[in-house]
Order: sequence, then structure tokens, then C-alpha cells
Amino acid sequence: MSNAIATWSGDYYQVFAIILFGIGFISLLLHKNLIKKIIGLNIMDSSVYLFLTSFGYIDGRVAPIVADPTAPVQMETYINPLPTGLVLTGIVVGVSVTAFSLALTQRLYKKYHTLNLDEILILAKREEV
Amino acid sequence: MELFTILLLVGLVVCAVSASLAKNLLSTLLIYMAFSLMMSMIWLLLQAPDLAITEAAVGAGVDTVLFLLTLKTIHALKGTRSDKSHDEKH
Amino acid sequence: MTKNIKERWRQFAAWVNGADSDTPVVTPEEKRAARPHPLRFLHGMLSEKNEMRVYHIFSVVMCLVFTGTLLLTVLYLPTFGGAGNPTENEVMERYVEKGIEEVGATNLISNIILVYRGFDTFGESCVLFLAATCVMILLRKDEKNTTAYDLAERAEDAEIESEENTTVLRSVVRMLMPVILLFGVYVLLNGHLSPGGGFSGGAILGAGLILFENAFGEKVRRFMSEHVYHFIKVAALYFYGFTMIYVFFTGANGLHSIIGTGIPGMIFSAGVIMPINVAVGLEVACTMYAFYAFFSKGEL
Repeated sequence: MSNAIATWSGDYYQVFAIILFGIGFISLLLHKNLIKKIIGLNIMDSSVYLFLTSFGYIDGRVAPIVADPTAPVQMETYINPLPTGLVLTGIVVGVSVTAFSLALTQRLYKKYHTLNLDEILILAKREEV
Repeated sequence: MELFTILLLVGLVVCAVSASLAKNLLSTLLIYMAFSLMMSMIWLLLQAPDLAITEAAVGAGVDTVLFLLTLKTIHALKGTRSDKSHDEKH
Repeated sequence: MTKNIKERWRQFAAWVNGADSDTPVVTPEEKRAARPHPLRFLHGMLSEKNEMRVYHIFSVVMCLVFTGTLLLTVLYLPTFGGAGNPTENEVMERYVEKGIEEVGATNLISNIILVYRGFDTFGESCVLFLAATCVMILLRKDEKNTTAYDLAERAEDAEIESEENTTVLRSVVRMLMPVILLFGVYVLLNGHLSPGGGFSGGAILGAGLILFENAFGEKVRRFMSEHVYHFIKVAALYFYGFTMIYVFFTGANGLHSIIGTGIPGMIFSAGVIMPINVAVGLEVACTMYAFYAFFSKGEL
């Protein structure tokens, strides 16, 4: 157990990312309000980005921007640029998903005049019959 | 520096919990904006300045604008007219 | 009316499935009721309130189990920040050490996202384009789907806008606007030399346009008409697409590219990266502004 706590305190970025994932997941499950569900989804998004980026970080190295391009580039100077590039793609896709789900929310509100998902489901079922 | 990082991470968790628990939709949204700003500081500490710029412009800027406009459309903001067509229809 | 159409559709579906059209049509609800449900006895035992409670408890327990499993997984992951982790491998070595020589940008991340992994970023641009199109489809308001209520709301908005109590906003925007646009253009054009690039620069430009639209509505609307929006967006995407096709073709076949890498560290260097950054930035700025316009008014 003490071993585990030592590992967790070393990997605190990953631990916090997982806690954030749990918070986002539970608010996605338990909230009835659609806006809060979308915010929970965004929090989950951010936690996954945090988890991914923390793997690229290496102690004592700097961001991968070469100050002096004439000198030969040493790998030992810079952190791993690959997770950063992947997460950059992810953030923009996250914005697209947010905008799309907000547009769907507006349409649902326009039709049913409520944001409560349970009420929307009941109204939709009543309409179907 | 490590203390600052841990403070920021704890702040992220506090923001996430309070955004989830807040009663008012507008305060949820503003707390989420603070969450995004803290996230962009964390990107800077993780030596990823590209992510910091993008997160600050997108997460705290454009996302918040979109959420605010949605709140205006669904009449969740104070000072805008309440939804009258609700009473007419049901 | 709708019921009639549904009835006919059901008959048509039964006919497609090979059933005789005279056989009585079974609705999905009736089918579901006829089938024995393994958990039906639970429905009798639990009232609706209790059912919700069971759902809540179940989701909390599931979330806790999930988080606990993930936390246990962290114990087996490589140490945070340690040199020599499995992620620090020959891929990273190639990207860092050969990046400037092969592509030419001193910001190694823009090398990766625009050239080495250009396919990913191209797909991402298409996702952004698709999202803007979907928002347009969902939220567009024209004569056909505008109700009297929408019109009343729009009139109210116009009334609020015409009250001219935006003096503070206008003077602040007048001061901030050049700085924001300059910063956006700087981030856009220096994407291969410093942090930034197409997406962040475009988002800054788009945010600046949104701010400008809030303060001086008419001026921006006159400039960013639907034609201008479509022209910029389609031209940027086409340019991006054709450039990427050229890069993929020469890269995959080992051909000599006519676009040189230039002197690393100069503004006109790094071959295709700066033009692509500008194209992506214009597309992102247009998309952000279109998101705003469709969310607030339902039209550009």
C-alpha cells in the first residue's frame, strides 16, 4: 500500500487526470440537464488530454522549439513532441463536438421547451404513440 | 514549482466538482471557463505552449461564447424574456 | 396525417420483408409486450422513484469501480517525467533530430502535425468543416422554419441593439481590436517558428471577429456576407487539400519536391508549412465566426 502511495504521488498528473475523468463521467451519468451533460463531457475530454500530454513530459527538458537552428539538434534537450501534436488535434475536434451538441440542444429545446432529458424522452414517447 | 502545479491540479478538481454541483447554469459555465484557464496554465507547465495558446483561445474564448449564446436561446439568463411559447403550447 | 403515413410505412416495410400485406401489422410495442422480459418481475417490485434510486446507486458504483481500476493501472505505468520511458523512442528521435533538416520548421510540433502526420490534421479539418455544416443545417432560419415567436424574439433583439448603450464596449473594442488582430496574424504567420499555428491563430482571429461583431454589428455583417464566407472557406480548404496531395504524392514516392525548406528560422522557410497554416487559420476563423452567427441569429 505504501508502495502504491509512493507511485501515485510520483505520477500525480495521471492520478488527477483520472479523478477528473471520474467527475466528468459521473456528471454525464447523473445530471438530467443537457448543458451540464455537455460540460461533463468537456471535462472528460480535458482529462484525457491531460493524461496523454503527461506522457510526453520529461524532467528538465524544454518545449520542442529550436532556438538555434544552425547547431545540430540534440534529442536530450527537448520533450517528446508527439503527444502535444496529437492533443492539439483532439482539442479542435472537441470544439466541433461541443458546437454540434449545443446545436442539437437548441433544436431539442425549440421542440420540447425543456432541457430535462427525462421529460424530453417522455414527450418524445408520447408523440410516437 | 511542484507545489504550484499541485495547487493548480487541485483547483481543476474543485472547479470540476463545483461546475457539476452549481445550481445556476450561468455559474456552471463561468466555472468551466476558469477550468479552461487553469488547464492552459497546466499546459504551460507541461512544456506544451502550443496547447496553452489553443486552449486559452478555444476553451476559454469560443466555447464560452457558444455556451452563452445557447443559454440565451434557452432563456436561462436573467434579464432576457422568459419562454412564453411554453404556456401557449402545453 | 402522421399516423396514416406511419401506418403505410409499416405496411410497406412488412411487404418488403416478404409478409403478406393482409396479415395484421404488429407494432414494436406489442412485440415487446409479447416477449418475456427477464427483468419484468423487477418492474413490479420497484416503483418509479425506487427505480431512479437504483439507477443512481448503480452509476455511482460503476464510476467508482471504473476510477479505481484506472488508478490501479497507473501503478503499472512508467514514471512521470522519467528519461528513457518507452515513449522516448526512435520515432521521437527521428522527429526531433531530423525535423529541421527534412521539413524546416524550428517549431517541431508544426513539423509533426502538418507534414509527418499531415493526414491526421487533414481529417481534423474535415471534421471541423462537417461540424460547421451540421450547425448550419440544424440552426439555419429561413422563411420556411421561422415562426411568429422567432420573429418577435428577433425584433426584441434588434430593439435592444438599437438602444445604443454600447459606448463602453465600443471604445474598448476600438482600442483592443488592432492588438487582437495583430496577435492573431502574428501567431498565424509565425506558426513554424514559435508556439501557435493555424488552429490557435485562427481561433484568435475568429474570437476577435466575434468581439467586433458584438460592438459594431452592421460593419462586420456587411463584410462577412454569406458569399465571402463560402468563398474564403472553400478556397482555403481546396488550397489545403491540393497542397497536401502534392506533399503526400512526393513524399510517398520519394520524389524531389520543388518546394524547398529554405533557411531554418527565417519567416519564408519550412516549405509548405506557412501557406498551410494561413489556409487552416482562415478556415478556422471562418468556422468560429459561423458558429457564432448561427448560434446567435441563425444566419450569416
